[in-house]
Amino acid sequence: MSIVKTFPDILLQRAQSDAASTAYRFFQGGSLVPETLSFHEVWAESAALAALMQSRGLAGERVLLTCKSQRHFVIAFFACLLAGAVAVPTALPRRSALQERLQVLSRDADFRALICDSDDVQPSHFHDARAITDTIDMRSWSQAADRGHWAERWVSPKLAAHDLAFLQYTSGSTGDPKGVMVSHGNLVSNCLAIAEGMGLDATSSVFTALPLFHDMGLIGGVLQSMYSGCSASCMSPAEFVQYPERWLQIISRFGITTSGGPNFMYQLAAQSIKPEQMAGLDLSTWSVAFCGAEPIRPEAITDFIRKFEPVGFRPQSFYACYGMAESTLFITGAQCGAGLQVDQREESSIVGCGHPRHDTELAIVDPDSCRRVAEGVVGEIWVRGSSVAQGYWRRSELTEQYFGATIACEEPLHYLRTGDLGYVSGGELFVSGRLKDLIIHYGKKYLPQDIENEAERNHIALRESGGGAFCVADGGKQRTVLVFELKREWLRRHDEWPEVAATVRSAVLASLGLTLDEVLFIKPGALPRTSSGKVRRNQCRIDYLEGALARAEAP
Amino acid sequence: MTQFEQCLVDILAELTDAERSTISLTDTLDQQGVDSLVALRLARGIHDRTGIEIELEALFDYPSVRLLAQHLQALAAQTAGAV
Repeated sequence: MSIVKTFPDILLQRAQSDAASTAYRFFQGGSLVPETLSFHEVWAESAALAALMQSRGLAGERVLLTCKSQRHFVIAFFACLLAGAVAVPTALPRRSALQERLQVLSRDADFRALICDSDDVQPSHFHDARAITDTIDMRSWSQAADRGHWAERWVSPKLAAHDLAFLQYTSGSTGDPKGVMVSHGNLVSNCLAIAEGMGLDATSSVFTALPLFHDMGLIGGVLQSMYSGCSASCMSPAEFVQYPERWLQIISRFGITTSGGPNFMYQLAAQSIKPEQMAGLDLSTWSVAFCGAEPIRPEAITDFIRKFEPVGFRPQSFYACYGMAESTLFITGAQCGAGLQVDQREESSIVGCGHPRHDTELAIVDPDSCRRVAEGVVGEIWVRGSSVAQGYWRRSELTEQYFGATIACEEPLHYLRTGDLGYVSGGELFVSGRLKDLIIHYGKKYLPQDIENEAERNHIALRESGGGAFCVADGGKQRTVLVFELKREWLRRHDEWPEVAATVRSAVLASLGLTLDEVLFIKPGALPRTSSGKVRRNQCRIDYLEGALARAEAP
Repeated sequence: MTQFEQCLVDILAELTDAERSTISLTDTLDQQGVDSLVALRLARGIHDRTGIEIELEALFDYPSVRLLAQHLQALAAQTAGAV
């Protein structure tokens, strides 16, 4: 009988076999001198916190995790796993939109405890403060003198593969939170798939500048390195955006082998790093430069390669991958060393995202008939295997719909519907679009409906359900456009249109954090719609690009 | 235009791909395309050109080119005073 290993087992094993080796480096500031944690320290600190949590009856309960310090976050996340608690990791609230998101999460996840390290988060901020019986402030806990004793009291939780490890709330829409239920078995399966796909082992060295509370930074960074027994180095995403050169300087100085993120990281590095900041860089240790989470633009990647090849970046290190929180993180990934694979289809260049690993299987299915389509034909990407999560938290209908799909005329096996469109050619997956018109801006996903609703709510000049939001490519950049029908009586008030547009842009920015590059007003009834009256966003995009939309024009 | 206003206009024009002449001194930064990502790049641009490191919150507290320039002026005076 094989016993499924879970992360508590893995942590303990690393603490015993690899006690003094560096598990994590946390970078902050231009000196590039990190704070470090050894495998033993990670275990000792998180076991102590886990014991405290167990003593307060938090095993099996949801615990909201929101930390400023990456070190605190890593310890607290592992503590939840070790305590058998269900972590609900989220961003630190700064702006009003995030505070609102916390409210929504507290209603949906129904958590009992809060782990934080900032005065910005207090139980009294939540709609039902009484339900939050416990708050652990990592700042005071890290100073507690009796921490050492707590570790001895930790009791290894009895975990089965299907027991929940954490809830991954999907980004984007604020009003409709979906918590993906990731089990302990999912975590280990997906880490195995990633290790296989990216060739990770104890000699690897990972770097991430992605948010640690979200799948790519959390599983691909923090958990993956622990699983593989190598080190992970972390820097905050905000620091990366301000100082992208530090990404490459750390790779160079610490011999990082595996690092990456969404397309925009490569684009920002290529655009903004100056030649003098590249002095002394040596990127030759970087063997897997992964890229996923948003559509990969071949121009951005070739710009990056052109710029950094002279300092040792190997073009074949580029590694495209595809995945999502609903399958823990990783679904498919390129062959190591294959570099960028591009397929020219009609007008567009589509990047190949490799093939599934471990026990993950793909099917390309006609989204309407639910029949499997032939090789090379575009359909919806469906996925099954032990990395597919358990469903959406307390959303049984949605779970049934997205996690319980079956292929027509085949054995009734359950598949995850990804909502992404793609095709398989020569065993490789090519992701060509999305069913749901999602807008992806710097790796964050937005539902166009949210943008349209927010606009409509904020100005009476806009016609009810008269908006369409979409993205267009503009050279190497992407622009987010909102077209909206004006009410008839507003057609002649053209001197007020700029104010309408400004109000809409501010409202969307304030509530969703997204900048609209253009707000375009069209005549009432001019929005492309289906026969049942639903907006046809792709048609909007096409008409916009061809200049075929009936614009509202000042007389 | 003050020196700091000029500097902010230069940085914003570059970051938002706009003509310098279209950048307003008094409109809010968010109306001119400064989202959280552009804000970080703006902070970096200010650091590179003036040596002043600002808190990101400053962009919310001083939300126009004019106000932000005055804030930078005050920070610069403080530093000069401390020397």
